[in-house]
Amino acid sequence: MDAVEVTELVPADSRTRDALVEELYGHGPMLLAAARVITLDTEEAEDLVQTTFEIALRRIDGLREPRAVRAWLLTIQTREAFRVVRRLRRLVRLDGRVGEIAADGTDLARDLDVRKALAGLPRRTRAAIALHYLAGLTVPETAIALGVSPNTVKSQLKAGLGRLREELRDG
Amino acid sequence: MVDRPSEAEVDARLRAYLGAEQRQAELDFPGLARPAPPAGPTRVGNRDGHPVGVLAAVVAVLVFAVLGSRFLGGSSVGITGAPTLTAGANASVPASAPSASLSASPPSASLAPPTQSNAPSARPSLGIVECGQISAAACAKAVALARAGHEAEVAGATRIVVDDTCPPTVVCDRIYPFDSIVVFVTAGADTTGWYAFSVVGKKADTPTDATPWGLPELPAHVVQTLKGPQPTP
Repeated sequence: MDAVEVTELVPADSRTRDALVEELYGHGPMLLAAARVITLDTEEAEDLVQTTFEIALRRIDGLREPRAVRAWLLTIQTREAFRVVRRLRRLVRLDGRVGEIAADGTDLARDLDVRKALAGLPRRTRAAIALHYLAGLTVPETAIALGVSPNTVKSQLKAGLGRLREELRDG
Repeated sequence: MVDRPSEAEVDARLRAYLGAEQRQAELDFPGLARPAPPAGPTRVGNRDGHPVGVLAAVVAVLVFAVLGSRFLGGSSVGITGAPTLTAGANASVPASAPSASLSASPPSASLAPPTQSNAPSARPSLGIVECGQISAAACAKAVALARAGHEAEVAGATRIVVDDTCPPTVVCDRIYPFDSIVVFVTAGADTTGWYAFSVVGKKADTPTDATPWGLPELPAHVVQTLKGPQPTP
C-alpha cells in the first residue's frame, strides 16, 4: 500500500509530553466504543484498549502530529485486535458470564438486533464499520488501520451493510 | 417480495447503535485503569515498529545468507528480495526438511529462474524461512499470502516459521487439505513480536487464504520450533 504510515509523520514542535498523553486518553471513549463493536465483548474490548494505550505510550515520542493522533491510536488498536484479542475471546467465553445490559435510554431490543446482526459479520468487516462509521475515519485512514487497500475497505463496508440489511429485514 | 428496510433505515439503526456504544463508552472509560506512562522518552517503535537494530540484524543475516549460499553451496537460501529459488529446488526439498530456507518473495517470483538473483529487491527483506513439513513452493506462497496486507507488521521479521498445523507424527482429520501456520518473528523470543497467520487451501500444497491467528492457538510443534534456535543459512 502506498499510503503514508501514520507512525512516520513529521514531528511538530512544542507539545509537551504530558499534554500529548492527556490527549491520548481523551480518545479513550472512542477507542473503547470501537473496540466493543469490533470484539462485541466488554472485557475483551477493555483489554484491547489498555493494550493500545500501553503501545501508544511506548511510542509516544515518535508522534507529534495532533491531527493524526486519533487515526494513529485506532491503527494500533485495530492491528492489536487481530493479533491479541483472539485468545482473550476464547478465555472470556469459558467463564460463561452474560454480557452487560445496555445503557439506560437505549432501545434494548433494537440494540440487540443490531448487535446480533453485527455478530454475523466477519471481524474485519465490523472493524471497518467501527472505524468508518463510529470513529469517523476516512476510507483511506480506515484502509491504513486495517492494512488493506481503500477499495477493500469500500467492499467491506458495502458487503457489511448489505449483510446487515439482510439480518435486520424482519426487525 | 420480502419487505426489507431501506438502506437509510439500516444506516440509521446502525448509527443509533454506534451512538449508544459511544455514550456507554464515555461512561465506562473513566473507570478503566490507565497504564503507567514510561518514565522517560522511548524509542519510536521500540517493540512494535522497525528499530534500526532489527534492520541492521536483517541486513547482517542477508549478507551472511548470500555469502553462505555462494561460497558454501548450502541448501539454505538467503533472502535478497529477489528470487533465488528454482522450481527444481522446490521439488528437491523433502517434506520433512525442518529448516528449508527460501525466498519470501511471492510464489510466482520464487519460481523464476535463478538468473534473476542479482536483480534489485522490489520488497523489503523478510528473514530466514523455516518450512517444516511444507514444500518450498507452498511455503513461499503461504508466506506471501500471510504477508499481504500486513507488510507493516512483518517488515522487521528476522525469522519466519511455517509448518503444517498437524504435528509431524500425527495423522489429522483435516477440514482443509492445506492447513498451515505462518509466524513472523520480529522481536526474537519476545512473543509480542510474533505475528501468526493461518494459511489454508482447498487443495493439498496449494495455499489460497490467510487470516491472522492467535498465538495461544499455535500448535505445540510450531511453538517448539519458534522457541528453538534459529538455523543459520
